[in-house]
Amino acid sequence: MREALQVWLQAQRGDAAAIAELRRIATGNSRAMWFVAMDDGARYVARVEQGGVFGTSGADEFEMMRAALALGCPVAPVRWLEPTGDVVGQPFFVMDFLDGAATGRDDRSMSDELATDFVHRLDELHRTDWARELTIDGDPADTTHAQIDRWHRTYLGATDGVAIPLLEEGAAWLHHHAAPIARPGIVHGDPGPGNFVHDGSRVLAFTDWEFAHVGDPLEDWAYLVNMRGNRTMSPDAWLALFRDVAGVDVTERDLRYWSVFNYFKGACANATCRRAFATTNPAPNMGIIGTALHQTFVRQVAALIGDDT
Amino acid sequence: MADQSSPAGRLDDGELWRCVDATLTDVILPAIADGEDWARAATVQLIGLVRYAATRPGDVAEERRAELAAALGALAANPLVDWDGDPSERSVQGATGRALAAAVGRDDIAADEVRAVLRPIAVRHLDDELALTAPLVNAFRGKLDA
Repeated sequence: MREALQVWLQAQRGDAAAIAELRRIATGNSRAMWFVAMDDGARYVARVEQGGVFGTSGADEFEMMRAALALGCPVAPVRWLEPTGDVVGQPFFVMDFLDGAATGRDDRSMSDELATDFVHRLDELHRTDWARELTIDGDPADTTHAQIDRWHRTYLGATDGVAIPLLEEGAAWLHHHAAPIARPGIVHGDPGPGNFVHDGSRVLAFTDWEFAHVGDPLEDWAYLVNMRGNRTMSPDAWLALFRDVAGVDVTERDLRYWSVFNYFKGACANATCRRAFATTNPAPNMGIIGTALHQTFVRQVAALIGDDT
Repeated sequence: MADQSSPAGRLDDGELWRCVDATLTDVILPAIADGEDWARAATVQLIGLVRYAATRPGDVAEERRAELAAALGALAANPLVDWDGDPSERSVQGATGRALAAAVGRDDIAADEVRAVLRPIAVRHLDDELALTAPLVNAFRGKLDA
């Protein structure tokens, strides 16, 4: 990989700089993250796809990060995209390496000051004038249905079309109960501790943009409460922070609906890891995400829906 | 467990899994250098998978499919059940999913029947599988059971 990546980087940069250091960074399952230091001091991160994991593409992620940067949102500058897989065996893109801290794999803590800035910056992302840089198909106020269909297709693609009955029920429930989006915005899709770089008190960059899309920001708020941020603080503390910092009121109905959505999305995305494990990526994390974590999320969908249809 | 009746014979699966587990846990894992976080995480996850492989019972997918097929058959008169009797996995899971989806948003006898009959089976099958795979979540997070 080192030689192929070096030749490719030289072509992108238009010089003959060599790779001085290349090592995998131990975060993330959807992408292999490689720290790349050049002998002229430049430092990058190469974000390499892992065989269709989560049904997301580096090209889409690259475009969303480019747009977010142009809109003034905190994100690492993206440099170059290699969408073919011909260079290192998988598509990838390269972004600048940012100094700063990221919480560890199992550390979900945030200081009060950092949590406040995080909510503020996430709200800014939601409110930015995304239409200046992004175009989407269809009515922006109706993207929830499109997102449900996207994840539904993703899981069926991973199972060769064999249905998972409780996910079929989940998709129908989500369509039935979807509300028009009051204010469509850029949704990060996987926000929270572990997925941003900070200096201890301020957000320097949101990372892990593979789930980002234009949609209902409530998806992100609910995700923080019940998923990535659920060990950071209590649901009531999160909801109060959203209200105080961003002026966002998340109702009980919103929280339930978007929790079902996020578990559904997670279950569908995780199903792709089972397929990757059997084909292109037989790594232990793929086997576990594709079974235990996938099943856990399906169970959450079923539990939250209950008998209320 | 080793086959005590033929200690010099063929290695059985239990012996092999125990060997892999012990070697990964006692030899490989302690030898991973500080800073090699990805290798450490992958090794712990692999130990979790080894223990899962060593202890899980036989595959019961066929029994589960047959139970769902029988339930679908019993609901043949239900207007929300669209199943042609094909006993394949694709057909049974598809018909179950379509029935559950069709029941969403309906408050009538047919929908109630689908929810009362098919849903508990699907949930129980999932719970049974989760009882086996749940320890893998700890391994995924870097934790090993004693």
